[in-house]
Amino acid sequence: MENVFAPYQITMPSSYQDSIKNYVSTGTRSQSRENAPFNRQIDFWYMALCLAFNKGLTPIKEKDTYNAITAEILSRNSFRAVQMQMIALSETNDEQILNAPKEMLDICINLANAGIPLLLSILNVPDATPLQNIFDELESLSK
Amino acid sequence: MKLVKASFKNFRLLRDISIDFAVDEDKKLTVIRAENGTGKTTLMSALIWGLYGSRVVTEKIYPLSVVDDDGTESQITTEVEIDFTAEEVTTRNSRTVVKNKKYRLIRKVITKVSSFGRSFSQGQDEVILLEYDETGFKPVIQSKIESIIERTLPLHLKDIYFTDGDAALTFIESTATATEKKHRVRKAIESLLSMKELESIIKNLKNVKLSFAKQIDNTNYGKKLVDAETTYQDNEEWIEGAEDDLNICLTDKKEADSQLKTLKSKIEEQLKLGNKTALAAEIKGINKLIERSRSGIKTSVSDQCNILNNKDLAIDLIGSKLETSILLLNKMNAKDKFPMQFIPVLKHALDKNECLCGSDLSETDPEGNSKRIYMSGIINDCKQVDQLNKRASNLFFASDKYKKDETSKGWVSEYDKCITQFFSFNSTLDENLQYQKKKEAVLDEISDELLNAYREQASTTETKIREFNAEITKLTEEIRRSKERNQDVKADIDKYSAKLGKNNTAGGKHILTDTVLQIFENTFEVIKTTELEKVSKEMNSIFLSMIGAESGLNPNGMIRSCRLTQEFEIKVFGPNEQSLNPDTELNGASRRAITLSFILALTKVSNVTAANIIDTPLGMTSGLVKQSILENLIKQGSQIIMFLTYDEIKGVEKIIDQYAGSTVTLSFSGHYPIMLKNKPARQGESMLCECNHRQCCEICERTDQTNMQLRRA
Repeated sequence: MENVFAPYQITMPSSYQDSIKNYVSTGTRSQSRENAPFNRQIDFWYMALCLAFNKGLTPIKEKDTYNAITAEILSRNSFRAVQMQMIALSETNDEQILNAPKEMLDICINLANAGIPLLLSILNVPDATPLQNIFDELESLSK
Repeated sequence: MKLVKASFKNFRLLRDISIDFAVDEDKKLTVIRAENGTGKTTLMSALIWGLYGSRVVTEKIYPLSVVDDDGTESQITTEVEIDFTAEEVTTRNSRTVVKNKKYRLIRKVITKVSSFGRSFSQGQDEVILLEYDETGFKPVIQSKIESIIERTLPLHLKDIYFTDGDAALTFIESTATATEKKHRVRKAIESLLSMKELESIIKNLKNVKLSFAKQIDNTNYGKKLVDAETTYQDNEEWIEGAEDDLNICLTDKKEADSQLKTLKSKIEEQLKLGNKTALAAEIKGINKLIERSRSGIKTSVSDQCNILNNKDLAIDLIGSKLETSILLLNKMNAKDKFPMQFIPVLKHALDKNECLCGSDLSETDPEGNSKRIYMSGIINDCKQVDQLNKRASNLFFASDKYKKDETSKGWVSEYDKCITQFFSFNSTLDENLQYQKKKEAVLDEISDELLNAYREQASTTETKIREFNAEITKLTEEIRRSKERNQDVKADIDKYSAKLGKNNTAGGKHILTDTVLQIFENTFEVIKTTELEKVSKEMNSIFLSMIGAESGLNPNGMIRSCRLTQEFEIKVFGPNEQSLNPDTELNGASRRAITLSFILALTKVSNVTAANIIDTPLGMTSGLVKQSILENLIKQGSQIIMFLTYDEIKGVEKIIDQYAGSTVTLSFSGHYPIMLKNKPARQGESMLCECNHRQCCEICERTDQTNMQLRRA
């Protein structure tokens, strides 16, 4: 399926840039996967988006952001582009949004902005590894 | 005397431990469960030092592990505190009163150890004895302390009350010569009698006798008598000197024997550790397994990380919240808003410059151009609607795949699989790491240099023992001959003495002294013989009780009795008084039984009531025999303190349950990780815990728990 978001950039809040990189294995050395459970920043971002959508968090429009990655990368996991459109559709309840990919992406970015601090707090729980922490949370949400 | 409690501080391996002993009449057994090398001998030495001090325990007593390794001088205080009770008999107005007194004996000494422990100097012992009365402990005056201890447990009985089960076998073992065995038994009997004063009187009388002989008129038989008496006395002195030399030789040989035994067991231990090359190959194999487990863990973690990108996981998270979008898509589908195919028709008309109605659509014609613009607008609108509809259509048809399926396990089952693998690899890794650690510790202990050094020392010691044996044989033979010669000289003396003139007063005094001397010598012999018979009788009774019909130790009643001969030999007799060699014709259990019977008999005849402290009493025994020996030891003693290994406890747990008033476990921190499972808090010391013979804890838990499991079962 066509990646409607391909021409655009995925942005994330600058304030979380360093924290996010701690949990991403690509580009970091000597970090065990149990402490850096996400392969790439896009994986972290997508998890934040899903969590925010799952918990019904209020989207946050951030001013100070950085270009984390081009949305072209979503083509590698094509289901994500589909799910993002459906999220946008659900959030707006307006089918016309389907013709506005940038708006759809913004909706997702704002939702993810709300999900990022939540995800960081889940990963940060002491006495267990971030990998265990995220799965503990996911298992509890799945029940 | 009963030991109540003992505390040890800085005595070799005993850094700071206390033991309460069982004092109850019905539960008089104290069991100190301890494997070899945990500090049993040290504990025995510490008790002996506590009671008798540094004049008896002459080796270094400070713990090597507390010496500062920064090059400064260390000052170490060693302290042993012993609480004991003693029965003291006093007679007042023809009435005998027995008082049970409580004492606390505290012995301290300070040792200064030079930098890096190169040399040490031990100070004077400081002893305090406190006596308990209704108001508490009161100090006993210094001059009385030694006599109270001597009255309670005389020093000469030390080796009888502090017994090593293995060492006791030297009374009968075949590796010792007949002379040595007799010497050991005689020494034990003599220590029981402590007749040093009587021996000294006999020696003085001999000197007096010689001086009277020298005053005798030198005419006729007088001269012959003096010469004979001088020869006799010279011979006696020579015999005495030779006997002293023989004793030294025997003691040295005993030490060399024990040294050789220790060296042989060290060689055996080294050999048991195994082949260094094979062990190294085994460790290499374990390392491969460890690598495999680590790689498995890595893969499993990576698989878990990949699950985070899993589509099912995303659906699980957002699926239930996508209802709005799905409803919207369903509505669009119902209204048939999905792509219509009339755009190509309009495009075709524009290309041909001719409308569907046939009118001109060329750009040059104003009306036609206006129509063209209109039609292009329709095409554009349609394209947008078409794109929307196409996206909606795609989403609609894909939406089924994004609904949460409550019945599907999806990512959860994949995660379960990963996590099971993860824990399995982790547990295998832990096991392999522990195994690797153990094997590496064994490898570290294997030292070819050490083995060669032990072998060299053993060879030197064997040569020394051979030399001692030759010297012992030579001296024994020379003493025998000298004694024979003196018997002839004695006959001459008696003959010359009888022929001396009646007026020779010095001769009369000589005869008188000789008579007195004979009386003392006979008395000495009679006492020795009487005591020997008492010990013999007691030993026989205890031994027969130990090997009773039910013990299984004496099948078909092959053993009828045992006795101590006048020549200080322990002999065992079968039917019709047939003599059995205890070392070759008795099994290991019976040999242990007879030596322990001998020791117990000595303590009973000594008339001293004191605790028997026995190390490894049940080695080489099993089943009913073991039970019988233990029951008899408990029955015969007033207070029994035993050091038992885990193997010795096997099979006698119920007896220990019944009679033990106190059971503790002694472990040595240096046994981690080969024998001890858990890492001790401190290194280089013995550790005591309250675990009885059926329990184990963090401190004493062993790597091989087979015995414990059986016990719990």
